[in-house]
Amino acid sequence: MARERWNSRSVFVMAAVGSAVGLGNVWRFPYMVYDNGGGAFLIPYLIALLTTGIPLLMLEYNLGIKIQKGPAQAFEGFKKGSGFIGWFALLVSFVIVSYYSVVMAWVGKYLYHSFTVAWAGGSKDFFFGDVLHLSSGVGQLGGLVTPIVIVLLIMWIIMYFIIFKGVKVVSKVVMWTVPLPIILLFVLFVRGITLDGAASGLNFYLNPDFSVLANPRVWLAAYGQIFFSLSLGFGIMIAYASYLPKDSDISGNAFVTGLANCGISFFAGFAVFSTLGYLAQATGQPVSEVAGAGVGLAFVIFPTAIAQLPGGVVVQAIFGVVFFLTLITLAIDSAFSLVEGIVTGLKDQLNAKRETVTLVVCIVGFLAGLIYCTKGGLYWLDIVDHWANSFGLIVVGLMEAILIGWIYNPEEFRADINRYSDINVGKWWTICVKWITPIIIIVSLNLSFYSELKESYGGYPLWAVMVGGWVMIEVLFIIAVAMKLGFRERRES
Amino acid sequence: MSAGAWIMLIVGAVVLYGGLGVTFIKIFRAREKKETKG
Repeated sequence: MARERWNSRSVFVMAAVGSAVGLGNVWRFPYMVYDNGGGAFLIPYLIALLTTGIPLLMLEYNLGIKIQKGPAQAFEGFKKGSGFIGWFALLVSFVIVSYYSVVMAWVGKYLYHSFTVAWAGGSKDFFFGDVLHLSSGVGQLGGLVTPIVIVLLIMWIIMYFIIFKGVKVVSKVVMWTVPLPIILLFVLFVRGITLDGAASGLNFYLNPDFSVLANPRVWLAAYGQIFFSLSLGFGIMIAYASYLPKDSDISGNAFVTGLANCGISFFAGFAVFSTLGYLAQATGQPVSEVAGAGVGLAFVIFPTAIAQLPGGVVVQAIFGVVFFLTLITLAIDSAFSLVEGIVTGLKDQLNAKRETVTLVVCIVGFLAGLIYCTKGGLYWLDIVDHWANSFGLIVVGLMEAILIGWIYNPEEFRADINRYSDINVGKWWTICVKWITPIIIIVSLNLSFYSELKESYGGYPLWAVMVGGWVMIEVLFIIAVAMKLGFRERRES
Repeated sequence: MSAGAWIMLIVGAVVLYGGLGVTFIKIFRAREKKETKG
């Protein structure tokens, strides 16, 4: 049977940008810039984009385009015995989408509550109390929070209907879900910069402290941000590229995806920090006191700022709806791309019907997400997220750089990239994949190991960190190897 | 905003959005070249 194809090259680029651009662009990048030397952070960040982000995007695109199969089969096609890297990437993706969808469920619930600005009485109590019903500790699961489960189910049903028919339907969906959050971000940006105190917020965001450039941790933070932000190591880009014709441009697509993703992050910082500048002024605190990242920024800090906006409840409600609609449209592309990567891998391996594989993956994904819908779910989400990102994805990145840079012939691989590409890639690509990326990842992994051994992550008890962190990663790795061996035996018999 | 913040704003915008523009120009030029040859 002929392989499905994207409707056009521009649709593929939109889907890849949609996958790369997610919640992290709004809630992680701006705070990272502020926390790592302000505008000076852009220097290591842009260097990381050019020396690791874009080269690895080219690598993943070429794997998918050349083999025309999912991640596991693509690795196996390049080097016999390396298919387990693809399975490991997909398993880590599965773990990530199981909790990412729960965060989307929180955003969905907030979108509903935006119409009445329900958190106006106190956004912290509203989030941890009314929404999460947060228990006293990681050991207290305390039963499911039904409203979150219902919204989670809705999220999985939406994802199923987006991907069950393949990339033809995804092509149509991304035409809406990729431009929409950019337009909404623009609305937030305009409202943000017209608020009192916006300039002081932007000053905090971009005022450069060049002394940080001598700190290796800032450079590692920049490389880490690029790595996570571009959906590298998930297997998604391999799966998406496998639906492109063999004579597709690789380098041009990689440059557009990488630059567009970082451009959106940079722009999101203006919308976020201008609003934080206003919040700081309205509450009489310095910007450093109100600045934050992640769940805290989206569900506590920003709602507090929204509740303080001038113009009354109607204006606050409109701003709230726009903000949470931005988050949900940013997240949905990333979430279904994670599921699509898994579905492509399994469908190509089992030669099964796409609809059946999608249904099974969505049901199992929903069930796996229920742990994060419990009253203690936030603690587990935090632990699993930390390990999946710090050790799961980065290990995949290391393995793919070593596989292509050291085991396979990188010059031959570069010639493959250049065969149909519009922009010729020079020897710098080989240096980036063979030397720069592995060295940066190995140093980063060692530093992460060191800090884990020094003190337990987030102050959680050791047993929780073992179960949600170390054991989870090891089990995923063992399952990946078992899947690789199992499928080989099946094929041979 | 401080002068440093303005400079970094311009640097970031030029590299990211300028880079994107240059990439598009290169892609279109390469396409034109291919079409002329083909």
